[in-house]
Parts: sequence; structure tokens; C-alpha cells
Amino acid sequence: MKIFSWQNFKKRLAYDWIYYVLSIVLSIVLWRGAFGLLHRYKFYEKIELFIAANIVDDSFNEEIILQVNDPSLKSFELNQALPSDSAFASKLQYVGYQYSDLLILSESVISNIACDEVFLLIDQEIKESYLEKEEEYFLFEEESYGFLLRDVNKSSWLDEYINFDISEKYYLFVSGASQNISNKGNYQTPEYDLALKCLKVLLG
Amino acid sequence: MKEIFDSTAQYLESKKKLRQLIVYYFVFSFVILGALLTFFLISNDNYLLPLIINIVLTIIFAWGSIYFFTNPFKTLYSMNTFFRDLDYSNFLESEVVILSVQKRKAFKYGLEFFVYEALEKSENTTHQRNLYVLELDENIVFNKTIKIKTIGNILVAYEDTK
Repeated sequence: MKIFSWQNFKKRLAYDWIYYVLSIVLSIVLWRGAFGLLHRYKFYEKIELFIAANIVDDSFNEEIILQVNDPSLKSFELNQALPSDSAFASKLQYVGYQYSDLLILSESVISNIACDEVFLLIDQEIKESYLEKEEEYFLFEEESYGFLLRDVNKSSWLDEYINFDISEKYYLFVSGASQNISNKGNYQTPEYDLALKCLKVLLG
Repeated sequence: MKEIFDSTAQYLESKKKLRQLIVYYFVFSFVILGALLTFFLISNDNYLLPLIINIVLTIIFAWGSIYFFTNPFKTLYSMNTFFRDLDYSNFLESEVVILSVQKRKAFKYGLEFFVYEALEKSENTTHQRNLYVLELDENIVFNKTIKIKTIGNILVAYEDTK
């Protein structure tokens, strides 16, 4: 009896073809997952921006990476949530405060937030080291917590990418839970300050 | 009686082949797994090429494994079990007239057998009986009474009664 037989193989194929097909699918899924996991961006290689407005063109993240011009910045990710959305508060709480490094919020949204608990205090060192020009700040209990990004009298280079509500003021905040703000936030990561390096680019 | 096959020798031969086959499979597996691991670990952020290579290698490995376990390994394992069992089985002796070889083949013990159509005479009755052989024997005589030794209708030995 032949051990290697083309006839036997053809007969068996009628029963086993599903294993041959499944092995293709599994190989693709498993290796994509494994490579993705191995090469996923580390927290210090990506910046997440939470925007409380409608993004009409998300190509500006590439522009920001180019302008920051830091080889360690490999990804600039955008998270959008509309204040009119019923799930906005949850998104802000979970995605905005916990997972985003930077946040663009409208004045009406900020009015309900205790800024000193969630945002980074903009101290003199940040102003001197990471900004190029004098900015207008959002004050909470007489302390600076955010930068004015746009209002009725001030346009932003992001206007063509984000559908801002023209009647609102928008501020840029730095999350205190970010790991990319040196040792100024909740984490002691003095060598990683990408979020602060992005400030001047976002403010234009 | 003429033995169609020597079950002990066949058992030892199939066991040897089975071991060889397993060694080849393990060598093949180690080579493929080594290559997969190497491409995976040396890949950088632009990992499209190693990803494609690994997917192709994995498909080759998976197809090779499926073929191995459903074809040569299965056949050899069945042969090994079959010949081992023959060594410890009780044979049945009877007299039959072999009429013809059937076109269809039959599966027993996971192996493919040729089928002889035969007539068996016992006391005053005659009934039809199928006999199974792994390989057709050119010396077997048709339309003549022969003495046979079988196990589960598998023809093991025969003798021309003259």
C-alpha cells in the first residue's frame, strides 16, 4: 500500500479541505495580531488628541507630526466627541481624561469641569520652554489651565479641519493623566514630553 | 499454506517507517518554526515583508501538517496497528471458491483493501463471502476450492487443496 499517493490525497481532500482553508485565515489573523502587538506604538511614541467638535478632515495629524519634527513621535491620534451627543460625558470622562494627552474643549463644556483635578497647570516653566509667543489662557481659580485656541475674533489653522461652533470659545488643555508631559502630571516620566512639544504647533 | 504477508516483518517495517516519518516531520517543523521566529523578532516598524513571509511560511507549515497527519502518517499508523493486531489474533480457517475481484475497494482498519468475491461451503450450505486483501495476489486461483486463513474476512494465507 502506497504511503504517499496522489489518489489518496484527492480522496482525503474532499473531507479535509476545510482545514486547508481555515489554516489560511488563521495564519493571516494570528500573524497580523502578533506583529501589530509587537510593533504597537508605545505611550511615549504617540499623542492622543480629544476634540469636542466635528472633525471634517483628519489629515492634519500628519501635518502636526511633520511640524513637531521629533523622531520619537510616530503617531498623532484623534478622538472626536460631539457635546450634543448623549454619551459625550462618558466619552470625555473615559477617553478624554484617561487616555488623551491633549484636549480641545469648548467653553460651555469646561464650565462643568473642576480643571485643577483633571488638567495640567500651565506654569511659568511650560510657558518659557514650550511656547513661542504670548498666549491667552483659560483661568480657573486664578490659575492658567488652558490655551485659547479660537474664538469669534481669533481664527485657528485648524478651522479648515475641524468644524468649530463659531459662537463658542475653544481652549486647548493638557491632561494631567498624560505620560508625555515630563514629570509635571500624575506620572514621573521626565524624559517624555511630546505632548508639551505639540502645544506650539497646535496653537499655530 | 502460503502466507500473503509476514505480519511480524510488516509490523516492524511500518514501525520503522513511522519513526522515520516523525523525525522528518519534526525537522521540517523546527526549520519552519525557527524561520518564523527569526523573521518575527528581527522585524522593525516596517514589517510588511516579514509579515507576508511569515503568513506564507505558516500556511506552508499548516498545509504540510494537515497533509502529513491525514495522509502518510494516518496510513502508516493504521498499517502499524493492523499488523500489530494480526500478531495477536486468532485466525479462522475455511474452504472457499474465489470467483472474482470487485472493482470497488473497501476500508477496514483505516486501510484500503481490494475485495475478492468468494463462495464458502460449510456443511450443506453455500453462501457468498467477501475477502479483503491489501495487495492483489497474482498466484491466487479462481473458481477452484482453496483453503484459506482469515481474520475479520481479511485474507492472510491460502492453500490450493488440489
